[in-house]
Amino acid sequence: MPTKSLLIYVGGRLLQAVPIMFVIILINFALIHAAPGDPVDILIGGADATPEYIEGLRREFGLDQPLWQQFVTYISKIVQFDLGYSLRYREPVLSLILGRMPATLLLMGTALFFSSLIGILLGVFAARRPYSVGDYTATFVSLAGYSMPVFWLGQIMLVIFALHLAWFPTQGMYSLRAPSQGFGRILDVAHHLVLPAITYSFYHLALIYRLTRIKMQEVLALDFITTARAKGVAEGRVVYRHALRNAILPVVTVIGLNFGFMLAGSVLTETVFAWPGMGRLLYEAVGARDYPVLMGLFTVLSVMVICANVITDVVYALVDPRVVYR
Amino acid sequence: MTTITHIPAEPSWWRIFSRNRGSVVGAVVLVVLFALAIVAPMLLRFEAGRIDVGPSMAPPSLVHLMGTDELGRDVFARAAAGLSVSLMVGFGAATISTFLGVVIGGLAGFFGRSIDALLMRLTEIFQVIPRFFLAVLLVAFFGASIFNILIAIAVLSWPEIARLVRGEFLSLRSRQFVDAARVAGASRTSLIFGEILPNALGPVVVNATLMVGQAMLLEAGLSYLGLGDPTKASLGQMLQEAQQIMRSAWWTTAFPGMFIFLAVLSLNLVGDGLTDVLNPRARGR
Amino acid sequence: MIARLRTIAIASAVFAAFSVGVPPAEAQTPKRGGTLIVALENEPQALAPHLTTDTPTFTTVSNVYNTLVLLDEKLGIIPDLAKSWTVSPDGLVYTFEIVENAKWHDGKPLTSDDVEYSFNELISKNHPRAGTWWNNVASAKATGKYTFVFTLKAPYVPFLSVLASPLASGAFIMPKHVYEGKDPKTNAANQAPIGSGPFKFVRWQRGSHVELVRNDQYWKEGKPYLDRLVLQIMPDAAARFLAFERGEVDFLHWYIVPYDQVAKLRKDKRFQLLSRGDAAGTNGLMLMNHRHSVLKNVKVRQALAHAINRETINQRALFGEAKVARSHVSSNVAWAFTDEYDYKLDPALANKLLDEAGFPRGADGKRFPLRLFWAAGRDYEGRGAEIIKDNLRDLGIDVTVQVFDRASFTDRVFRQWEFDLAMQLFTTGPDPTFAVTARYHTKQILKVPFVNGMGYSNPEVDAIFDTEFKEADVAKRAAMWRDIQKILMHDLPALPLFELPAIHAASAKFKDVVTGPQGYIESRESAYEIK
Repeated sequence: MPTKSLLIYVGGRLLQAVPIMFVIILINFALIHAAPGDPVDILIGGADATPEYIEGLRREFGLDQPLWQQFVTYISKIVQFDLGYSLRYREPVLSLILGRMPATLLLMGTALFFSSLIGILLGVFAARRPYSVGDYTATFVSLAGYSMPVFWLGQIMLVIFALHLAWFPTQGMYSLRAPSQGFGRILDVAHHLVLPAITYSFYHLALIYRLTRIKMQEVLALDFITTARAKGVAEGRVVYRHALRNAILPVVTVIGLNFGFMLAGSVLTETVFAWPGMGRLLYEAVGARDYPVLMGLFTVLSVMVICANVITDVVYALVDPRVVYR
Repeated sequence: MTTITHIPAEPSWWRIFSRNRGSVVGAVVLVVLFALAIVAPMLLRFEAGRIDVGPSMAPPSLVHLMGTDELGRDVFARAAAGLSVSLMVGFGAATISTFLGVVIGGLAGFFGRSIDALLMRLTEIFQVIPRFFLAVLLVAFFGASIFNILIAIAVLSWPEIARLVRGEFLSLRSRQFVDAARVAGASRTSLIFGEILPNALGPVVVNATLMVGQAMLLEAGLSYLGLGDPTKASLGQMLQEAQQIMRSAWWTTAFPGMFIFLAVLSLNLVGDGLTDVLNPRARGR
Repeated sequence: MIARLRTIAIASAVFAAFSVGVPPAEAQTPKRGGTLIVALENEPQALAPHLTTDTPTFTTVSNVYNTLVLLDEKLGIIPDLAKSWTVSPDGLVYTFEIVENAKWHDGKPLTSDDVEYSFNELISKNHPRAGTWWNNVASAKATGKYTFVFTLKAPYVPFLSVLASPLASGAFIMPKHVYEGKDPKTNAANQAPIGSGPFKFVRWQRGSHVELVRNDQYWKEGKPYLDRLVLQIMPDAAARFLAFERGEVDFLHWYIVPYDQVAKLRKDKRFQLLSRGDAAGTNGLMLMNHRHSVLKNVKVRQALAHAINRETINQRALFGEAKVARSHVSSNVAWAFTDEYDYKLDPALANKLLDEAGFPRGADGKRFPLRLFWAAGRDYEGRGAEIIKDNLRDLGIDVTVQVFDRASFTDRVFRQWEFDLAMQLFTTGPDPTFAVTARYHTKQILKVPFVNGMGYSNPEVDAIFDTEFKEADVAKRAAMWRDIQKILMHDLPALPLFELPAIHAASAKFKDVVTGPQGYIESRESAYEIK
């Protein structure tokens, strides 16, 4: 594959994203500022502050400026990678978001990896024996977790696996009573990761499973598979070398597209398991009407989704040489 | 009618659907749940929202089949009412978003060119914005009424359908049978509604079925974050209210949870069956 | 009653004499060691008490900083950094002697200069509530290395209570050498505080926890006992309680103890329930909008008071752990409280009052509709709203319950005044002057959160509000507060529903986790692990 055309393609895609980003920022800005609720009220908490104090805060955060001016200021700062200053935490938004990003990426990456792997394997398994007990079992397994509200599933998992069986800790990312170092710390984080990752996986698992099953059924019915079988190619080889390779392309696309939804879905899992990620940061920011953090998160997440989509396209192209860059 | 993937001796759709026993079970469960949601409020001895119809946190018994909650409300009566709210949100949101998706995707696919480019940029924007976050924002900001929740979910779910419909339209509009109709002098409207749309509908129906379940779950998620509508308590809202007391009264959370689980699971199983019916290529050998 | 008044009079009107609050005798002497994990319901805003009234912030920084004075169980004043103080006979000059052995965590000595800087530059200029009390202060000056003098413009009896209530005043003493010459809003110490308190700041892992370690050079002899204090952020109520049951977290403060579990915890030997007085005196109320065409009629408001079953609210919404609130001052503010003017549950009388007020039942048995708002987050308020709706239905009033997220709720109720009825918590202590007056004074009808959004105005009660805080005689002042409660309970700007229980839950492995009436915002310097 010519590297140059690939680069041009990626560059073009990213360029295309600029106006989209602008519109997204505009929409978010309008929406967030149209909301009832004043960040200053939340900032002063349960206190009965004086009107003068409240005016002072509003001036400090530039909330007394006309909206269009706030927007212009915001855009001109974004270009310099300055996402502003959190009203609630009084810290730069970018550092807040970056501080929370690793936890979310770890949780999401783990969930994405295992759910894709298991989803594909189950899908292939089911597609080879449609309408059998195995097929129904696989369908049920992949759908069962998906069919429950995430927070409810999480709470049930906690009652069973954390409280009654005591296999896993309930909250957070680390053991805080006796913190461990080095390799022990990695094990500790992994131990804390199990329940949230499983809870988080189900949505994605159901999706990957369904798609793999359908695509595999389609491919297995095609002529070249019949031919291969007729030629006496071993069944395992037919399924995994020939059929799966053809069925997996759309699955890759869906994994990429889902990246964005997974990021957003993290808010529920992170809240139940007290996982210190971006989802919770967002929810706290909504509650506090922390405009800069909300805007920053939307911008960062949108950029991440766009990048994920470009990466997906590139992977797609690498897997399937028939794709031509337009 | 001419279909694009014309297969001779097509078996009836029910035969195909019923080959997937999971889908049949799903359909039956769904019918039962629907009946429960519609009929139960009329038959049940207790009014759903009324407090003190029984003791506080009484376990399931013959009088209160699913027990009572901390306010002495009948859990069965509430869960049945909650089921109808959840189903309404699910089907309402799926209907609206499917409608939006079909209109936008159809226009883009049929007219192509600049209209297509414009509408697809719009779709892309809505796909890039993290959806659940936006739903949280919309509902937090504009009030947690069941109507707002339904609209928020609908407005955020149409892009997939739009893409799907656009794809179908793009491939269908250049097919022979459409050309034939065009040559015969069919108007644009009759081309769209008479020829193209019916043929593009298969995947849309499957997608809409799945979306009903997704919308129900999304509503439950919003309820968990305190953004549910307490005047019209959905199943998700019941789960949210019960989480504080789930340890002392498991029935307050188990039964509403089971209803959601059964509803979403059977919707998905039915969706699988419909895929088999509407996507001949994926049919089992 | 009189005997009770006297002890409190001694405690709260401390002039020269004071006594150190001695914790109840324990069989065991405290030993060093151990880690206490405290649950926070939310991430702290900043570790900067001069900028905020955020509860998780105060739960954390109360371990890092000290105040001048503290409250004891009976809401009397006891020393912290100020080892003694005198008040001039005219009630205008407060002179504090500061301890001489206090050091900042970076080793620099703490002097009255730090006190002066904290009040003049940090608290008075930045704290959200400064405007409610600082205008009584004429000057705040360091007159010697360890002597500090406040001069007031006019007598203000609750002054020491204000200084002892950091949540109300932000009055922690902060290091001048760290804050001087820099913007107090963006100083790095706002995220990594350098204090004088029993624990030193180690790290704040965003979204996860704040870690503190023992200050070995703490100026209070022998304290603290714990090696480490970790404050872990746990937003989900159900999961948080699971973590508590599993022993992952050792302490739940009173606002996050699940009331339905209290009865169970009481029987469980692994846990203990703690209560050492209640400085907040938090009442749950139903606010009534006096601009509403129906609610502006006092008979209607009184009818609601007769119709709402507050005992059911206590039993069902708070699982019987609360007390029915019988006045606008909490019974925990014992010297001021009276239940004399409370309403009896009497639906028949309520119906009669509504008929008299000119709102007879229509043909369908209904009188008028009302909307009742509450803010998501406190499940007992939601259950209370459902009970109120049910009670008022029997009265022919159609109540629509609506829930908003807290920001929208605050906006609607306190800025737009766009509500009929609303569920709200108001503190009434430790001194009602700065807790109660702000809610019901006519000059507090402002578009500002948590003040008089009800639009209630009665010049008669305003007149008492304006003079009571100058009255140094506790018995006379208590009489004035009884008059205030009589008027408020007659006029009903809000209906007091329940007194929030002041119960903390802790693992039985620890002793003295709570020693004072501020529970959630007091330092854990006395807590120790039982070995």
